[in-house]
Amino acid sequence: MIFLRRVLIIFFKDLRMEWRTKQRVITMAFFSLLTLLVFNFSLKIGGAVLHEIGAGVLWSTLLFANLLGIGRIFDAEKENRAIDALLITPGDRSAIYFGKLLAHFVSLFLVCLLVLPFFCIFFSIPFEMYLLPLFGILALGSLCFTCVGTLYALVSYNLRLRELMLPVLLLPMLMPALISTVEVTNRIFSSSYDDIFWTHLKMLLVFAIIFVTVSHMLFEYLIEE
Amino acid sequence: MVNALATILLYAPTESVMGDTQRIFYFHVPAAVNTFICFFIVFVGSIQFLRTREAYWDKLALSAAEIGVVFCLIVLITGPLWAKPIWGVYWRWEPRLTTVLIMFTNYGAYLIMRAHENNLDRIQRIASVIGIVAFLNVPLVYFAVDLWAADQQLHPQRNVEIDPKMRIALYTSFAAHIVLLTFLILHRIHLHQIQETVLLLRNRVHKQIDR
Repeated sequence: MIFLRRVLIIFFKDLRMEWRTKQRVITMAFFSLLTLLVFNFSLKIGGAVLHEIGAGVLWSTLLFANLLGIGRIFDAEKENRAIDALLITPGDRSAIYFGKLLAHFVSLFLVCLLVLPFFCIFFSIPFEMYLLPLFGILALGSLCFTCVGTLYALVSYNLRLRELMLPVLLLPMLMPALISTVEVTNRIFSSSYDDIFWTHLKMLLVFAIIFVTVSHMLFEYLIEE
Repeated sequence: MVNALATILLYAPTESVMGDTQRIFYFHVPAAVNTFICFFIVFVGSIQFLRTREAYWDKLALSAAEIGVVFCLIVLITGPLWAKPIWGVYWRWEPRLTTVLIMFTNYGAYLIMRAHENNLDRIQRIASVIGIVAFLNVPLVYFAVDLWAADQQLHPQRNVEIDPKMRIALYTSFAAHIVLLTFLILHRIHLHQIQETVLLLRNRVHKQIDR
């Protein structure tokens, strides 16, 4: 219970900070919008291919937005060396991991919700038809992106070339998640819930479970000093 | 190694359909196996380092990662060389190709990260964490890509029937590659140890001069 309370304290602290500044969510959402424009102009999207590549464009956009936002989740702790205060709190340090994970997950999910209407309008996808499954996959996808991302955010926090290294390190790790989310979303758009759909869904769950477990185990080794 | 080369080039019969191009296979497959062995060593070395904090394990992981990336590169180069005459293209987005490519980027990033840091203690911990996570990613990538491009499966799955002479050539090549792998890793570890000693000595000399 105490562990859960610690997690929630960090979670609410981060959310409150985000609510007061709104810097990360607004920037990520705006960046996603710009990325959608970039894809639109570079691929000359239109006509029949729309439905085939729509899911890919949506998830690439969110992937890049996630990269942009996640590098910043430990920045607040850097000011006034607040991280030291976090570290001297007694108890299990993986509470920090779970708190940060939840906070970023909520921010990223919010970004997804902000981007979704624009995406559906630009790509003329009748989103009211698939609203529930879409919310489901957006939540699961955000969780997958966040669970490795939080660990790597701490990795890059300690690195000298952090803005450069974070995308280079994180992108290959997120490839399986990207593949599965795109495949699942594609199948949602074409309403074909076949075996492959369910396998990809399970794959995403396995991804999230493995990396949440491993990350919270490894988190302690990174944060010491 | 020379023995293996002779077996590959002279002893093994020429493949009936693909001709001499097939001989590249004796490098391609062992190199691929070596890549996996190397990345497994990185994984084990990283875990052991976090457990024991002995610099030796970290050096082992680093050396294995370096050698693994080189073998991975060999796989990625010999593959397309073979594919061009046989499949007609250099590259297909086939499950195994894609997996190896993602693996290559993963460990490439690991090496890039290590190259640009100077705080040794910190980098050892970070690298170990990445070494563990990256290895866990490999089966996930393979599984995802396999599903994603199931209709593109072009590599033989298992139990392929081959000529006994070819089998001998292949096994010789395997043996030669593994010996080479062990030699290279030991060499790299030795080199890293020397590097560390040089660094230590240089610091000591600087201190002496400062005095």
